[in-house]
Amino acid sequence: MAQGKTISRGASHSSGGPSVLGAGVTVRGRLTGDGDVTVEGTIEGAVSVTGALIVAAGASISSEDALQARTAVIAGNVEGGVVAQGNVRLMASARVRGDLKGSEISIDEGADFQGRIDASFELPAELAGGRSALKA
Amino acid sequence: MASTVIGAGITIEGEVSSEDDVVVQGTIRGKLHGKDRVTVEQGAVVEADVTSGPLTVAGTITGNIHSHDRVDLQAGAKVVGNVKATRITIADGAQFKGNVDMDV
Repeated sequence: MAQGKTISRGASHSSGGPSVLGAGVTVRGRLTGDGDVTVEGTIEGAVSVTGALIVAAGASISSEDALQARTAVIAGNVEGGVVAQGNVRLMASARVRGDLKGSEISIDEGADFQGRIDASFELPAELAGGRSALKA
Repeated sequence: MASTVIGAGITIEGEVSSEDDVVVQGTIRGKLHGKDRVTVEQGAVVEADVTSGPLTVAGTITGNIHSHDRVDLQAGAKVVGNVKATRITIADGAQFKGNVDMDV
């Protein structure tokens, strides 16, 4: 699990370059495409990107559909949930209403979250066999 | 670097409003309201009416442009729409179809 306190951009980039929506930006509509996206402003609508999604502190995204990304780091306000192929991380300043789905979910202390968590992961060996394996 | 960059792989369908500088490398369909400088880079596609401060275009804009400052169409730019601005330059190699209103 990532333990760093800083928000770093995703290490790899898809075909598009990194995008930043600054604090003074409001988008009403759909944002889709390739590349990493950092949101510092406001989006009212769906977000679907193939790269890393960063929702900075102070940013706000409200969407009827879950946000889609390869990985997601949330430090701002999200209504509508998050679906990632990789990790989803809620930082301490995050406020999320909606379900989270990803290969790994982490929620920092102080984050405000209401929703369900759907994380597919391998059980540790001692739990993989269910209760019978524990007794053995 | 501008505070807002809409990268080459990104498409926004809807309305974009910005208080600060905006650099468009990707695609915007809808409306673009910039209070400050807007730069439409080579390869970018803006199918939207644009309001802005200073506007520099090296990509494609289909829509009407209203700048409260200057508009610079650089070589490689392709603009179809009317331009209202206090000053305008159209570089050799820029394509432009539309009317110019310099508010005199």
